[in-house]
Amino acid sequence: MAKGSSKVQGVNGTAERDGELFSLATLTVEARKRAVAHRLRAVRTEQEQLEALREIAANLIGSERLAVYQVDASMSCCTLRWQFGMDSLLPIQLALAQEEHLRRAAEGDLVMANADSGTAFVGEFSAQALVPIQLRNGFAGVLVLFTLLRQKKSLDASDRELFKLFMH
Amino acid sequence: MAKKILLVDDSTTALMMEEMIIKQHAGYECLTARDGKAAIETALRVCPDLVLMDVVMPEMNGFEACKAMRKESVLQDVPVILLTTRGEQDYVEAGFQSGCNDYINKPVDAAELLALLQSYLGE
Repeated sequence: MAKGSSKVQGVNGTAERDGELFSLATLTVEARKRAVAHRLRAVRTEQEQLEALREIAANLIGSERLAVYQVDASMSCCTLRWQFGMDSLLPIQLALAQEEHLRRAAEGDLVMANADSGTAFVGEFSAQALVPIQLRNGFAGVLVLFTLLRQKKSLDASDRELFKLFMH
Repeated sequence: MAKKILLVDDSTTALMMEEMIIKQHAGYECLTARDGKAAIETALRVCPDLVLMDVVMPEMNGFEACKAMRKESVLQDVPVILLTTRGEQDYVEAGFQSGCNDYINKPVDAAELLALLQSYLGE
Protein backbone atom coordinates (compact mmCIF):
# COMPACT_ATOMS: atom_id res chain seq x y z
CA MET A 1 0.00 0.00 0.00
CA ALA A 2 1.04 3.57 -0.42
CA LYS A 3 3.07 4.83 2.48
CA GLY A 4 0.66 7.50 3.56
CA SER A 5 2.45 7.82 6.87
CA SER A 6 5.82 8.56 5.27
CA LYS A 7 7.42 11.72 6.59
CA VAL A 8 8.29 14.54 4.24
CA GLN A 9 12.02 14.47 4.75
CA GLY A 10 14.27 17.41 5.46
CA VAL A 11 11.73 19.08 7.70
CA ASN A 12 12.32 19.70 11.37
CA GLY A 13 9.91 22.03 13.14
CA THR A 14 6.14 21.88 13.08
CA ALA A 15 5.75 25.33 11.51
CA GLU A 16 8.27 24.45 8.84
CA ARG A 17 6.54 21.14 8.19
CA ASP A 18 3.14 22.86 8.02
CA GLY A 19 4.60 25.36 5.55
CA GLU A 20 6.00 22.60 3.38
CA LEU A 21 2.75 20.65 3.40
CA PHE A 22 0.86 23.83 2.48
CA SER A 23 3.16 24.46 -0.45
CA LEU A 24 2.84 20.83 -1.56
CA ALA A 25 -0.94 21.14 -1.41
CA THR A 26 -0.67 24.26 -3.57
CA LEU A 27 1.63 22.36 -5.90
CA THR A 28 -0.98 19.61 -6.31
CA VAL A 29 -3.66 22.16 -7.17
CA GLU A 30 -1.50 24.13 -9.60
CA ALA A 31 -0.14 21.04 -11.33
CA ARG A 32 -3.69 19.72 -11.82
CA LYS A 33 -4.92 23.04 -13.20
CA ARG A 34 -2.04 23.42 -15.62
CA ALA A 35 -2.32 19.84 -16.86
CA VAL A 36 -6.09 20.16 -17.37
CA ALA A 37 -5.83 23.53 -19.13
CA HIS A 38 -3.15 22.14 -21.43
CA ARG A 39 -5.19 19.01 -22.21
CA LEU A 40 -8.38 20.93 -22.95
CA ARG A 41 -6.56 23.40 -25.21
CA ALA A 42 -5.44 20.52 -27.41
CA VAL A 43 -9.01 19.33 -28.03
CA ARG A 44 -10.36 19.89 -31.58
CA THR A 45 -13.31 17.53 -32.12
CA GLU A 46 -16.21 16.42 -29.95
CA GLN A 47 -14.75 12.91 -29.73
CA GLU A 48 -11.43 14.32 -28.49
CA GLN A 49 -13.31 16.47 -26.00
CA LEU A 50 -15.21 13.51 -24.55
CA GLU A 51 -12.01 11.46 -24.30
CA ALA A 52 -10.26 14.37 -22.57
CA LEU A 53 -13.10 14.71 -20.06
CA ARG A 54 -13.02 10.97 -19.33
CA GLU A 55 -9.26 11.00 -18.89
CA ILE A 56 -9.28 14.04 -16.61
CA ALA A 57 -12.19 12.73 -14.53
CA ALA A 58 -10.52 9.36 -13.96
CA ASN A 59 -6.96 10.49 -13.40
CA LEU A 60 -7.21 13.90 -11.77
CA ILE A 61 -10.65 14.11 -10.18
CA GLY A 62 -11.43 10.55 -9.19
CA SER A 63 -14.55 9.52 -11.09
CA GLU A 64 -14.96 6.80 -13.67
CA ARG A 65 -18.74 7.05 -14.07
CA LEU A 66 -19.79 10.02 -16.08
CA ALA A 67 -22.05 11.30 -18.84
CA VAL A 68 -22.61 14.29 -21.05
CA TYR A 69 -26.05 15.70 -21.77
CA GLN A 70 -26.67 18.10 -24.63
CA VAL A 71 -28.99 21.02 -23.94
CA ASP A 72 -31.50 21.71 -26.69
CA ALA A 73 -31.67 25.19 -28.18
CA SER A 74 -35.02 25.96 -26.54
CA MET A 75 -33.62 25.06 -23.10
CA SER A 76 -36.56 22.75 -22.53
CA CYS A 77 -34.81 19.39 -22.46
CA CYS A 78 -31.46 17.61 -22.36
CA THR A 79 -30.48 14.63 -24.48
CA LEU A 80 -27.92 12.03 -23.47
CA ARG A 81 -24.92 12.49 -25.76
CA TRP A 82 -22.44 10.06 -24.19
CA GLN A 83 -21.99 7.96 -21.07
CA PHE A 84 -19.03 6.11 -19.66
CA GLY A 85 -18.61 3.50 -16.93
CA MET A 86 -22.30 3.31 -15.98
CA ASP A 87 -23.82 -0.08 -15.18
CA SER A 88 -27.20 0.93 -16.56
CA LEU A 89 -28.44 3.12 -19.36
CA LEU A 90 -29.19 6.65 -18.29
CA PRO A 91 -32.39 8.45 -19.32
CA ILE A 92 -32.04 9.40 -22.99
CA GLN A 93 -34.03 12.60 -22.69
CA LEU A 94 -34.93 14.67 -19.65
CA ALA A 95 -37.30 17.62 -19.42
CA LEU A 96 -35.51 20.47 -17.68
CA ALA A 97 -38.73 21.60 -16.02
CA GLN A 98 -38.60 18.41 -13.95
CA GLU A 99 -34.83 18.36 -13.38
CA GLU A 100 -33.74 21.01 -10.91
CA HIS A 101 -30.03 20.23 -10.92
CA LEU A 102 -29.73 19.63 -14.64
CA ARG A 103 -31.66 22.84 -15.31
CA ARG A 104 -29.36 24.85 -13.06
CA ALA A 105 -26.30 23.41 -14.80
CA ALA A 106 -27.88 24.03 -18.23
CA GLU A 107 -28.30 27.66 -17.16
CA GLY A 108 -24.60 27.90 -16.35
CA ASP A 109 -24.37 27.04 -12.63
CA LEU A 110 -21.82 24.57 -11.36
CA VAL A 111 -23.70 22.10 -9.14
CA MET A 112 -21.72 20.07 -6.62
CA ALA A 113 -23.18 17.66 -4.09
CA ASN A 114 -21.93 18.35 -0.59
CA ALA A 115 -23.06 18.57 3.00
CA ASP A 116 -24.62 21.99 2.44
CA SER A 117 -26.43 21.44 -0.83
CA GLY A 118 -27.36 17.79 -0.28
CA THR A 119 -27.51 15.16 -2.99
CA ALA A 120 -27.83 16.14 -6.63
CA PHE A 121 -29.94 14.05 -9.01
CA VAL A 122 -30.16 13.38 -12.73
CA GLY A 123 -33.37 11.47 -13.25
CA GLU A 124 -33.24 8.86 -10.48
CA PHE A 125 -29.46 8.74 -10.41
CA SER A 126 -27.60 10.57 -7.68
CA ALA A 127 -24.72 12.68 -8.95
CA GLN A 128 -21.63 14.26 -7.42
CA ALA A 129 -21.29 17.15 -9.85
CA LEU A 130 -23.02 18.74 -12.82
CA VAL A 131 -20.72 20.97 -14.82
CA PRO A 132 -21.84 23.30 -17.62
CA ILE A 133 -19.66 22.83 -20.70
CA GLN A 134 -19.59 23.98 -24.30
CA LEU A 135 -19.66 20.98 -26.60
CA ARG A 136 -17.42 21.02 -29.66
CA ASN A 137 -20.52 20.41 -31.81
CA GLY A 138 -21.64 23.93 -30.94
CA PHE A 139 -24.31 23.03 -28.38
CA ALA A 140 -24.31 23.73 -24.68
CA GLY A 141 -23.87 20.63 -22.57
CA VAL A 142 -23.69 19.35 -19.02
CA LEU A 143 -21.00 16.99 -17.78
CA VAL A 144 -22.33 14.79 -14.97
CA LEU A 145 -20.04 12.91 -12.59
CA PHE A 146 -22.03 10.19 -10.85
CA THR A 147 -19.87 8.33 -8.35
CA LEU A 148 -16.35 8.85 -7.07
CA LEU A 149 -13.56 6.30 -6.77
CA ARG A 150 -13.48 4.65 -3.34
CA GLN A 151 -10.30 6.50 -2.33
CA LYS A 152 -11.86 9.86 -3.20
CA LYS A 153 -14.14 10.73 -0.31
CA SER A 154 -15.70 13.89 -1.70
CA LEU A 155 -15.20 16.72 -4.15
CA ASP A 156 -13.53 19.82 -2.74
CA ALA A 157 -12.58 23.40 -3.55
CA SER A 158 -9.68 22.34 -5.77
CA ASP A 159 -12.07 20.21 -7.84
CA ARG A 160 -14.28 23.26 -8.20
CA GLU A 161 -11.28 25.11 -9.67
CA LEU A 162 -10.84 22.36 -12.25
CA PHE A 163 -14.52 22.38 -13.14
CA LYS A 164 -14.26 26.10 -13.85
CA LEU A 165 -11.68 25.28 -16.51
CA PHE A 166 -14.19 22.92 -18.13
CA MET A 167 -16.73 25.73 -18.28
CA HIS A 168 -14.61 28.02 -20.48
CA MET B 1 23.81 13.61 -9.96
CA ALA B 2 20.02 13.70 -10.50
CA LYS B 3 18.05 10.51 -9.88
CA LYS B 4 16.24 9.30 -12.99
CA ILE B 5 12.54 8.52 -12.62
CA LEU B 6 10.75 6.75 -15.45
CA LEU B 7 7.10 7.88 -15.57
CA VAL B 8 4.77 5.56 -17.45
CA ASP B 9 1.16 6.49 -18.19
CA ASP B 10 -1.09 6.49 -21.25
CA SER B 11 -2.89 9.57 -19.92
CA THR B 12 -1.14 12.70 -21.16
CA THR B 13 -2.84 14.74 -18.44
CA ALA B 14 -1.71 12.45 -15.63
CA LEU B 15 1.79 12.29 -17.08
CA MET B 16 2.03 16.06 -17.27
CA MET B 17 0.76 16.54 -13.72
CA GLU B 18 3.11 13.93 -12.26
CA GLU B 19 6.05 15.39 -14.17
CA MET B 20 5.29 18.90 -12.88
CA ILE B 21 5.21 17.62 -9.30
CA ILE B 22 8.36 15.53 -9.56
CA LYS B 23 10.35 18.28 -11.29
CA GLN B 24 9.78 20.50 -8.25
CA HIS B 25 12.36 18.31 -6.60
CA ALA B 26 15.71 19.51 -7.88
CA GLY B 27 17.27 16.11 -7.47
CA TYR B 28 14.95 14.22 -9.81
CA GLU B 29 15.02 13.94 -13.57
CA CYS B 30 11.97 12.59 -15.47
CA LEU B 31 11.77 10.29 -18.47
CA THR B 32 8.41 9.26 -19.88
CA ALA B 33 6.79 6.34 -21.68
CA ARG B 34 3.19 5.83 -22.82
CA ASP B 35 2.70 2.07 -22.36
CA GLY B 36 4.28 -1.02 -20.81
CA LYS B 37 6.28 -2.05 -23.85
CA ALA B 38 7.78 1.40 -24.31
CA ALA B 39 8.52 1.46 -20.56
CA ILE B 40 10.60 -1.72 -20.75
CA GLU B 41 12.51 -0.48 -23.79
CA THR B 42 13.24 2.85 -22.11
CA ALA B 43 14.14 1.23 -18.79
CA LEU B 44 16.61 -1.14 -20.45
CA ARG B 45 18.21 1.77 -22.28
CA VAL B 46 18.53 4.28 -19.41
CA CYS B 47 18.35 2.07 -16.30
CA PRO B 48 16.26 4.46 -14.16
CA ASP B 49 16.57 4.80 -10.39
CA LEU B 50 12.80 4.30 -10.00
CA VAL B 51 9.79 3.50 -12.17
CA LEU B 52 6.41 5.13 -11.46
CA MET B 53 3.90 3.29 -13.64
CA ASP B 54 0.16 3.34 -14.30
CA VAL B 55 -1.59 -0.04 -14.29
CA VAL B 56 -4.26 0.27 -16.98
CA MET B 57 -2.50 0.96 -20.27
CA PRO B 58 -2.72 -0.23 -23.89
CA GLU B 59 -0.23 -2.67 -25.44
CA MET B 60 1.07 -3.96 -22.10
CA ASN B 61 -0.41 -3.06 -18.72
CA GLY B 62 1.52 -2.12 -15.59
CA PHE B 63 1.34 -5.58 -13.99
CA GLU B 64 2.72 -7.26 -17.12
CA ALA B 65 5.41 -4.63 -17.57
CA CYS B 66 6.46 -4.95 -13.93
CA LYS B 67 6.74 -8.75 -14.25
CA ALA B 68 8.79 -8.35 -17.43
CA MET B 69 11.13 -5.86 -15.76
CA ARG B 70 11.76 -8.26 -12.88
CA LYS B 71 13.02 -10.84 -15.40
CA GLU B 72 15.70 -8.42 -16.65
CA SER B 73 18.84 -8.62 -14.53
CA VAL B 74 19.59 -4.88 -14.83
CA LEU B 75 16.08 -3.95 -13.70
CA GLN B 76 15.51 -6.54 -10.97
CA ASP B 77 16.35 -4.17 -8.15
CA VAL B 78 14.88 -0.97 -9.57
CA PRO B 79 11.98 0.15 -7.35
CA VAL B 80 8.65 0.05 -9.19
CA ILE B 81 5.70 2.00 -7.83
CA LEU B 82 2.36 1.30 -9.46
CA LEU B 83 -0.22 4.04 -9.88
CA THR B 84 -3.88 3.28 -10.26
CA THR B 85 -7.45 4.46 -9.95
CA ARG B 86 -8.33 1.04 -8.46
CA GLY B 87 -7.73 0.81 -4.72
CA GLU B 88 -9.38 -2.56 -4.06
CA GLN B 89 -7.37 -5.01 -1.97
CA ASP B 90 -7.28 -7.77 -4.60
CA TYR B 91 -6.02 -5.28 -7.13
CA VAL B 92 -3.28 -4.14 -4.77
CA GLU B 93 -2.27 -7.75 -4.10
CA ALA B 94 -2.08 -8.42 -7.84
CA GLY B 95 0.29 -5.47 -8.04
CA PHE B 96 2.61 -6.87 -5.39
CA GLN B 97 2.50 -10.30 -7.04
CA SER B 98 3.72 -8.69 -10.25
CA GLY B 99 6.81 -7.56 -8.32
CA CYS B 100 6.07 -3.92 -7.57
CA ASN B 101 7.55 -2.32 -4.45
CA ASP B 102 4.70 0.02 -3.68
CA TYR B 103 1.34 1.27 -4.74
CA ILE B 104 -0.21 4.72 -4.91
CA ASN B 105 -3.77 5.70 -5.79
CA LYS B 106 -4.94 8.30 -8.27
CA PRO B 107 -5.73 11.15 -8.06
CA VAL B 108 -2.13 11.82 -7.04
CA ASP B 109 -1.35 14.09 -4.12
CA ALA B 110 2.01 15.90 -4.34
CA ALA B 111 2.92 15.44 -0.66
CA GLU B 112 2.14 11.71 -0.73
CA LEU B 113 3.96 11.15 -4.01
CA LEU B 114 7.11 13.09 -3.07
CA ALA B 115 7.26 11.42 0.35
CA LEU B 116 7.04 8.03 -1.31
CA LEU B 117 9.73 8.88 -3.87
CA GLN B 118 11.99 10.23 -1.14
CA SER B 119 11.54 7.04 0.87
CA TYR B 120 13.09 5.11 -2.05
CA LEU B 121 15.50 7.68 -3.49
CA GLY B 122 16.43 9.77 -0.48
CA GLU B 123 16.98 13.51 -0.69
